[in-house]
Amino acid sequence: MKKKYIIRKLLTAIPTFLIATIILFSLLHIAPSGPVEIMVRSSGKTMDPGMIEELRSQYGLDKPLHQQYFRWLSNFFTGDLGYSYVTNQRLNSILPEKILLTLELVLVANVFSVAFAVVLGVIAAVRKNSFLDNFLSSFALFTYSMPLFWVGLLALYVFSLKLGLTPVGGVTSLGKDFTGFAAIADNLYHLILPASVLSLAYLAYYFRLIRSSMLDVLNKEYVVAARAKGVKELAVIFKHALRNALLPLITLFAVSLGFVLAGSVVIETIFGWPGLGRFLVTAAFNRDYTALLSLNAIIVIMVLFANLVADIACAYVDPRIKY
Amino acid sequence: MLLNVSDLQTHFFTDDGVVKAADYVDLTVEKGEVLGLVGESGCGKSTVALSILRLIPKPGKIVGGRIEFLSQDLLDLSQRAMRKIRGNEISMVFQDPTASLNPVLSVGDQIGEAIRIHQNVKKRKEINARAVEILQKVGISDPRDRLANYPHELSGGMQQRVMIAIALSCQPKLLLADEPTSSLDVTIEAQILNLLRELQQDLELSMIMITHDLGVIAEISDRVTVMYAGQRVESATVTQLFENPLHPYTQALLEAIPTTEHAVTTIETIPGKVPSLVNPGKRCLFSPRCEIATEVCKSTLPESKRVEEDHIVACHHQGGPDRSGGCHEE
Ligand SMILES: Nc1ncnc2c1ncn2[C@@H]1O[C@H](COP(=O)(O)OP(=O)(O)O)[C@@H](O)[C@H]1O
Ligand SMILES: [Mg+2]
Repeated sequence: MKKKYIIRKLLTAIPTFLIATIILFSLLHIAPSGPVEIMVRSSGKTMDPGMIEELRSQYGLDKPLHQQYFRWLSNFFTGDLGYSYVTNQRLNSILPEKILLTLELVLVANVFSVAFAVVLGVIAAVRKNSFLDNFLSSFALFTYSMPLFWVGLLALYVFSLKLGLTPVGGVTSLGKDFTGFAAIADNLYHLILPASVLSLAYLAYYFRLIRSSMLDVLNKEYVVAARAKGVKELAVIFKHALRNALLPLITLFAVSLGFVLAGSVVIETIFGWPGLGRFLVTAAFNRDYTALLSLNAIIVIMVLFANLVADIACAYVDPRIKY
Repeated sequence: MLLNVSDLQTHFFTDDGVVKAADYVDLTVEKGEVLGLVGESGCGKSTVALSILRLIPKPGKIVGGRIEFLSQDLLDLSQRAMRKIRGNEISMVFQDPTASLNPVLSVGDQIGEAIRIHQNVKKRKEINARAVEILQKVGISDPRDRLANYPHELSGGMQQRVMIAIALSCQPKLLLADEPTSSLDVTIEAQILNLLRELQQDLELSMIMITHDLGVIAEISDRVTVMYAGQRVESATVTQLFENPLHPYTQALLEAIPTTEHAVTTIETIPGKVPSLVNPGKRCLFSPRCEIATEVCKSTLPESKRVEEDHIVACHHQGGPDRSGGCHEE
């Protein structure tokens, strides 16, 4: 039963993946000027048209578009991500590390923000309209509406430059060869500020979702019925209400992965965190077709995977969902 | 006397003003007795029931009165002591079983919870055995298999049986049944009413049966309290009430008993609606809809008068000058 359900979900993911990558591919080619033109322009030299043509054919850019797409697709599925025109490196050798770095940042930020959002959201909903609720809600609205890059720069200025508590950027301390435990500690030391800024942004978003979902559930009749049984208030909140309040949010968490990755683009750029986000920005400026396509395809797969996990989790915790 | 509610005042402090959902309500329940609580929707029946359990939601508050249960005022109890009463000594069955069962917890979990809290039974096996026993009592077949079911897997009638099982799982002394059948269809309604009556007699249970349908009252209650706009307007034994209704509102309710099998939620025979309970003013609240209302009804609040043993009415005219024929004419 469950296996069938998962296979069905996986099969529906295939057309989604194809459509998403075709749209991406088309968008890239609609954008004016290609990678060769940009390379030539940024080098500042003039190059004769013959040379440009030669470079284009060398990269396969003179082929019809559908051929280019299918070549990329078959390569992608045989595990060959292609070649970055800009860095002159095989993507297979540079992307895995970047993916891991981004996942580290995003996952740590997410775990913290979800944990805090659940606690604060529940408190705010239970103490609706209290001073604490008003304070938390206004604070959430405030951080939610502040541009992420601005918060990032501010944090960098205060904590790194003025107070000297955290490093200015990067993943590890340069010129120091830590091993084992020390290396991990050094990495976490670099992670703490970008992850905090990022989780502050998610926190506001998740807090608002959890608070409103919880408020909705606390008015349900089964919550009153639980109290009428003599259930303690804490158990009413966590056993009877919270589970129901989190159900609609599981899917929302998965859907917001795209939004979460977008946030990491900004943070990675500000904090010099060499993950996917920063690479994506550089690649976009240079029309690095293959890199953009492969990278975005990976992101599409991550989002689809998160959705699959959410579907399975929902079916697991909500008895009303049929496989 | 098991329960003696006197001068209960429960108000909702809304943005539009203070809603007096229960305004000096008196009612009593003897041991083993069924009290019917009747009135159109919005009259404050649920408010009274929830007040007894002290579960009035914000922005509501019990602002006055006494709720004596076994000679102690529930309003004096600590939260902790009150929790020991809820589901154990006094339990409640709600109107809509689909909404009052938790969708993500199994039937076994939800019955077992009350047993675990109040009966000091900790072993899963023992809890389940008791749950099976009580499910059998409320007429659920294959009770052992039902424990693993989730509410959505059961029909509305079954769900209400489960709610009744939960309510009775700790042998309460008083059951508050808040329109327990009004969301069910007619045949199921009859089954559930029968079940409640049987259980009530077997267990010598005291009960407050809330309904807007006097037909239900006739079948199950010993005494009746009629509420209108947050106030008690009449209280009598079932026989007295049906033979000699004194309040024009009660008379109208009796005329509105459906002859067909269809229940009604508002009384079409009386023009008008339940008035706003915000600032009701000093007058008989029923006077705008009353055919026999006079000047005095519009300027002074009628006092409750005991006209017979067990028969109390709050009406300036006690049913009107031509009361003798009042409720019998068609
Ligand atoms: N949570 C609440 N907030 C504001 N007003 C309420 C609330 N609950 C009930 N009321 C008001 O109290 C009055 C009585 O309601 P209720 O006790 O539910 O009546 P009944 O059960 O007889 O239909 C109504 O006028 C209703 O609007
Ligand atoms: Mg009600």
